[in-house]
Amino acid sequence: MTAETRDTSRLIRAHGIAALVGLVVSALMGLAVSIKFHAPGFLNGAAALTWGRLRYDHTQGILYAWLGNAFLAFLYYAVPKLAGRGVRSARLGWILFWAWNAVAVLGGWSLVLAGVSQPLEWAEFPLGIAAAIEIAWVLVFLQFLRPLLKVGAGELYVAGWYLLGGGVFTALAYPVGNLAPRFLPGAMGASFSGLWIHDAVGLFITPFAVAIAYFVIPAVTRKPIYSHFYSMVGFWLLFLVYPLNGIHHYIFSSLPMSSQFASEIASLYQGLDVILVVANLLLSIPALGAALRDVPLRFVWTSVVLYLIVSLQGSVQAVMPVNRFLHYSDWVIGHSHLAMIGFASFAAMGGLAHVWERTPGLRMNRRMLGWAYWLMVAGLVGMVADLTMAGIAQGHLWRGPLPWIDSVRASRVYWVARTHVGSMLLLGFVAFGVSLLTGKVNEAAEERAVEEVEPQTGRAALWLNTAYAATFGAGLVFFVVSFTVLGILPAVRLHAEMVSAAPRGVVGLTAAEAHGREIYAREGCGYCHTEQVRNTRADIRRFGRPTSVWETSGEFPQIWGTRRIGPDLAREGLRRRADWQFVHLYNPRATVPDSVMPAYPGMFDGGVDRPGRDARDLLAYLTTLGRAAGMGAEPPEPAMPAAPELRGVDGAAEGKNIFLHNCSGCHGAAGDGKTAGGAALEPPAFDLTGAAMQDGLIWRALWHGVDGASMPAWHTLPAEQIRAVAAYTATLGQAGELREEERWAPDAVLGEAGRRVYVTHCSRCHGENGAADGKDAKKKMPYPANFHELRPSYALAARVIHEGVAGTAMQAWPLLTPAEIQAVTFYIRGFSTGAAR
Amino acid sequence: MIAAVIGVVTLLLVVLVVGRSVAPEFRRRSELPKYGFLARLGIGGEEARSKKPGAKEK
Repeated sequence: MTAETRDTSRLIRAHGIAALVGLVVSALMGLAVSIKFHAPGFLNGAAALTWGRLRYDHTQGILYAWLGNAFLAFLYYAVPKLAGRGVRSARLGWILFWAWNAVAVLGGWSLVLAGVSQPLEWAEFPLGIAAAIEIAWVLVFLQFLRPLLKVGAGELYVAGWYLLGGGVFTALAYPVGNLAPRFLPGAMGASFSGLWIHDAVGLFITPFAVAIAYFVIPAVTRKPIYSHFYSMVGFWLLFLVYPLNGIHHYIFSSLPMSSQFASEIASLYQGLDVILVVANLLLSIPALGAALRDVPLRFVWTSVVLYLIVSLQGSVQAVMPVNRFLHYSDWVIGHSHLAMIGFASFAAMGGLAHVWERTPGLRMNRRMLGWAYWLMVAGLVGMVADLTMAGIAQGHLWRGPLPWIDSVRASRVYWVARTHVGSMLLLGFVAFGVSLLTGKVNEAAEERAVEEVEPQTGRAALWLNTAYAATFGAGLVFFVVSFTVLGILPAVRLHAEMVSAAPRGVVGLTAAEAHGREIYAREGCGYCHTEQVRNTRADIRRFGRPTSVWETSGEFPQIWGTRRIGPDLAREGLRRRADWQFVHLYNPRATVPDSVMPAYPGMFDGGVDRPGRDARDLLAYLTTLGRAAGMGAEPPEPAMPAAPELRGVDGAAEGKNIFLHNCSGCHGAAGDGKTAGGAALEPPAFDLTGAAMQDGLIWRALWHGVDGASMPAWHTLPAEQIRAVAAYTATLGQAGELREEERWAPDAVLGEAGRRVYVTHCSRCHGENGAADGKDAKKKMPYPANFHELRPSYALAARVIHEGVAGTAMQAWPLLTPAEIQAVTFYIRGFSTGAAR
Repeated sequence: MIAAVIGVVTLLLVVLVVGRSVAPEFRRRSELPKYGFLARLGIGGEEARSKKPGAKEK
């Protein structure tokens, strides 16, 4: 074995083992993330292991730790055979290895877990790590791509073109995706984020994966590919059209509609390109059955077939009618897993295994490799089918009137299934790793002399070289074009719109609000909650007016989000009170029993009523969401229908079920408000068992919510469900009667004494006749109780009068004696009309 | 503008495709790299070596 071969073998082994470790670690993070969907308390003790941080590290790990290393291992074997000359040097190779793995991967993973990250899809590693990755790309260029450049344009085999293109365009696109959103706010930055989201897959992953296919297929079948010319046509189409797709991640957003239409056209055109590429590759495999006995080729063949499926799926889901229904749902997650596992990872595994079994000194267990293949196919089919069905269910529910939490409940079964099939995939990944670390050791192959390629001569060669070189130059020009057309031009147009359309008085974030935004970003909140109300009927009905372009003009980078597990938060500041937000942040299930949001008790100093700086600043940021929009008109609330008769209505059982799922988090399963979450609100959740309430009061509170309290409006529920839960609530309230042994005096005495107490202390707010129309009533929020609609029990009244009600104007009256409290309670109960039991 | 860009791209490629179909030598030379690749892998023997672009041993 020559020294060069030995060095190459060591570098292949190093990158290969790093790839295997990266794959398993990233997959474990993904499994943890999946479990947290249906067990939100799983691994939630440490800030580093919360959902958002693991999610960031999962995707970046797949991209850099697994695929990056696998591709680099492949390059060490493939480039000498494509270029007819070796890579630059072993020393440079080891510098690249350590830069990639120690600095970029381990450094990036660690920093993200420590809370240092960016909320940009496929660019979650912090800027410092992004800089290290860009430097690593320069080393990749020097090590692998310079030898390819020395081959003439007309002589270079298509796999070499893909490697060249992938290396060059990724180096150009990567800084765009990382830096532009830092300097361009809101919608302007989103234009560039969209470019990178797609370029990461289309100009980094796809070229390397397709290069593997073009390499492995002829190498195993020992036959040339079907058409080299059409493979080049497919290559040019990929690099010229792919960058134009990016805005299809923001269909129905405030980005210019022309850009959105353009991205749809490009997406459909890209589908045609993939058909051409895949047809060429599949036609290159004669005697398919025999060929697929070679397991690495089987991986590659599967990758090619899934490349076609996922690309056509992507083309379809970019068009508006489909996008309106499916965007933000788990369908998109199924699509991305089909792409990254089915297409990219299967290609990487095929390439790595092909290289591995031809590298002296490495091992290969072919039986285990076969098992790994089938485990992964089964796991992948299961996962994609599961997420596709989940996406359809979510899209359907989001279009309807049911509360958002219903879509979370409906998704649970799919999320549990995903964990199971994800475990199967993880097993397949482990089996793949075992297959490369066990088995017979490869013997040193007979070393062939490296053959340099002499350039062709003649007019045809000149035309070919000129054509290819010109097209490559055109590719660079078109990258600049895509950057301009999809990034700069929309940004310029958006800036003009921002300036002209923004209302006066829109202010930027304070220091606390900006800090809160950083917390929102580092915890991955934007990966569950979007901050853009789209221009679709379903979004407008549920969330209000569509997000205008100027609303996020102070956001660097934008956190529009590309997935909704929780509801959109663009108008959250107009919806929820601070007390509710703190309780929800401390333990989401205290306010929304079926929520899967992680709890953040670490942001509090020992209790929900002691929010720390992080909690306070995060809340400060949340209250800015929609603040600018609040300066404009909100869509009107639907008119409340007349309160129906609630007594003796059928459906109490259904009403109880609705109550338990939607109300018990605050009001308690018994309706007595005795929950940690309910007690921490200001005002606390009402004790529904402590008073008899008129039907109108119950109906109004359910329909409109209660101003000044955390009781939300529930008019989004279907009318029959509101009626059912209102009827059930009406059965809870018990006003009770005064027992003789507790009575302090006869009725007449109680009444007169109570009247004097009431007139002295209560009438200014509650009104002379208890109708909540006192002189000070309108200044109080929430409004004082109207005793014509509410008849409190003696126990509830005693508690309220003695302790007051936090968060309201109802102060405590500690100087009133128990006798006086009884008397005034007797008096105010006399105001009610027919609510007493 | 995107439609125009895609149109230009398509036109360029159509020119390449048409040029290839009317020029047999261009068609032959455009396929040579796949034989050269096999030859460098040691596949195909003399047939591949005769079809690949001119090569010399180091």
